[in-house]
Amino acid sequence: MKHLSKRKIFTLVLFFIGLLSALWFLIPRPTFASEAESGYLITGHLFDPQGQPVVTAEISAHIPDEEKAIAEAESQEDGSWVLVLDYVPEEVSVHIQRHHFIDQVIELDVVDLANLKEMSILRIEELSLERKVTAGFWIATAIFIIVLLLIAFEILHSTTAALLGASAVLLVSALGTAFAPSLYILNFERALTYINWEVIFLVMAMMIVVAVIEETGIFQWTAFQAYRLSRGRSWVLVLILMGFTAVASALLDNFTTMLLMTPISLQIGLALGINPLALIIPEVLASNVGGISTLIGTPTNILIGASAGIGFNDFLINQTVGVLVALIAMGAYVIWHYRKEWAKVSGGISETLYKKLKENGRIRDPDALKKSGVVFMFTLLGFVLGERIHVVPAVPAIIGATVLLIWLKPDIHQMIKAVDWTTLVFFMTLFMVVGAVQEVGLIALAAKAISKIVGDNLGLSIFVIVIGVGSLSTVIANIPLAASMLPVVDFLSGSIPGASSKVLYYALSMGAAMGGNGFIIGGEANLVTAGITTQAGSPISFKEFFKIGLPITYITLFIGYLWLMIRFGAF
Amino acid sequence: MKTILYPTRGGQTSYLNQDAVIALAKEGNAKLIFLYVSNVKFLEKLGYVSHARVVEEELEEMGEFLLAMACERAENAGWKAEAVIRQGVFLEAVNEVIHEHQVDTFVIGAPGSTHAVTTTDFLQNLIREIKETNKIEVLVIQDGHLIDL
Repeated sequence: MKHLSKRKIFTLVLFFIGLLSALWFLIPRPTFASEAESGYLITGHLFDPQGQPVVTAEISAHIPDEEKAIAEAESQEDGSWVLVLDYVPEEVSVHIQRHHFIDQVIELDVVDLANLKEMSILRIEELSLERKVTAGFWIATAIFIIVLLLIAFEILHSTTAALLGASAVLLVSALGTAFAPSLYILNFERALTYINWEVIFLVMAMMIVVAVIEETGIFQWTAFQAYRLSRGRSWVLVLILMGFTAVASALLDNFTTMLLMTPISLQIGLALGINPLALIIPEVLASNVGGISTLIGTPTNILIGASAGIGFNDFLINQTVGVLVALIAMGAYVIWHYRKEWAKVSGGISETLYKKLKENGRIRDPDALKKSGVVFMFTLLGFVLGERIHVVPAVPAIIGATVLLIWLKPDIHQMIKAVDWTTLVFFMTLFMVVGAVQEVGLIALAAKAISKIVGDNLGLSIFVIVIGVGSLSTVIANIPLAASMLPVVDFLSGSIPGASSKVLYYALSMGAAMGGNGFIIGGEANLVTAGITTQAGSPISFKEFFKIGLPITYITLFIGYLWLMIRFGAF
Repeated sequence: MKTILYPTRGGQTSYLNQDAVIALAKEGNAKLIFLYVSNVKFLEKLGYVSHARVVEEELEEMGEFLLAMACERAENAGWKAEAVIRQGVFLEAVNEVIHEHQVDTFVIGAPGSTHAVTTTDFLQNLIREIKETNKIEVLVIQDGHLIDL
């Protein structure tokens, strides 16, 4: 890689600033329908029984004996609607129709019409639409459960399962539109609105950044330095490795961290003469927990952050202390659990093996490391400062990835291959399937049921979400779990006193990630680690993992719960 | 001089078998080759093929280390061994190495009393295939002893 001249750096900085300025001007400013309308306006707001706005409801104004509506409108994102009438008739009724809700008709009386004529505007009070259970409700529910089961029992790859679910929802809806309206769930346009593009772009950009960093050798180098620093004391080594994997997982992602840490840790373990799994399993456990403290640390945090508007700083401020305490407790448990292993350490390794270990733990591309380090720091700065100017985290991530591609000039085909398209398709189609059950009202029902259990008790709600989601996450993949739970948490956050602080979202983040430590099947980082250790004749058995993973799961979940209670004053 | 090929994953449970095959080579005054075959197929199952190239490189370096340990065991036992690393399907890699190095005896470890990666079914099929394809002697060792499978 050639050294960059000052001129080139200046051009790059200018490009960076130009891109930021362009983005600033391109951010759409909110516009209001009423500003652009004229005539006689009838306005209102629609909400569902949980107080959430009802969007895309069809509202029409009718006069007696006329089949055709004299005005039509659709409810907007905030549930608002505006009917524009050219004139004020003697009698008018407003019809509200929406799939999965009971139709409503509002007859305007003489006083309403007189007001409309005089003021040119009539505001109808906020309306709560009652839900109705259709055949589409049952079909969407069945599809959703089948998708979860297909993923949980690994009958289909998670992406194929989610794709199948989305296709089934769209097919049933198409049949519903053509033949039996009660089958209708949601159409393609509506399904697209459930895809959180911020998540997709943030995940994609981070994949590119990670792909560049993973080739530098920084993970392997750190592991080797940890080996040197520990001077044969394997209990010290495991604590350093756990600390590093936790931090690396928070800044990059836990899957990649374990992918790169496992082979070198295995070699170090064998060199020390201990069971290498005594180093590797604690690393996986730490990586699953470490990621919780940042927005980009786990896919579930990206999902939660984008959906609930929780930024990089918010995660850092509200989760880090809890995560640190959980990691300290985890470290203590690991030292105790593997106490017999620490006593086994051999006298040392031969010069040849040490040289080989050193070679495998070298920085492979110092130049790429320097450059990617600089860009990554700026990207992190973008996450931190971006919030102040309302720039979503996906933007600095995309800019960071682009600058890396321009500056380092890696093989673009390799970089495109490094983007995990199956994961992105999984996210998109999963959003559609979860959107379908939201649309038909299943999530609202679940939220109502949880609400009945927890009542107005914020502490109990935090407990139920941290421990409940954590327990489910030991067996169910945490991404579909978090995606399904988000609308439920949305509802609870709006209805439980004190929950507007977004504490329940943090509870969801902790539960989903910490629960992944329960069993070997609980997280993708666990599975990839098991895959690599098997390649080295040290397979991780189900029993071996859960003997340490399950107690640590509940220790850390409980610490997470206590921390959120303290942090948000919920005692 | 006869050539013995012994594939190993290098885990702690394979040490006994490694020692046994070293003793066998020493006894028969045979050239000993340790083989490590890595396969990133598991990433495909997890849906993470995008990382395959990096993992392949990592596994290759890990294999070199694991075989360096095995060769050191041989050296400590007073015998010299060679290390060969391959990637891909195990059987294909074994056949390739048997052909390239004109191997006379193929030794394979059977699942022992401790954790093991390979299953008996897999081994029986593998042994049959290797015998049929290469017409060479195949020996099976378990927990450091030659056995009949």
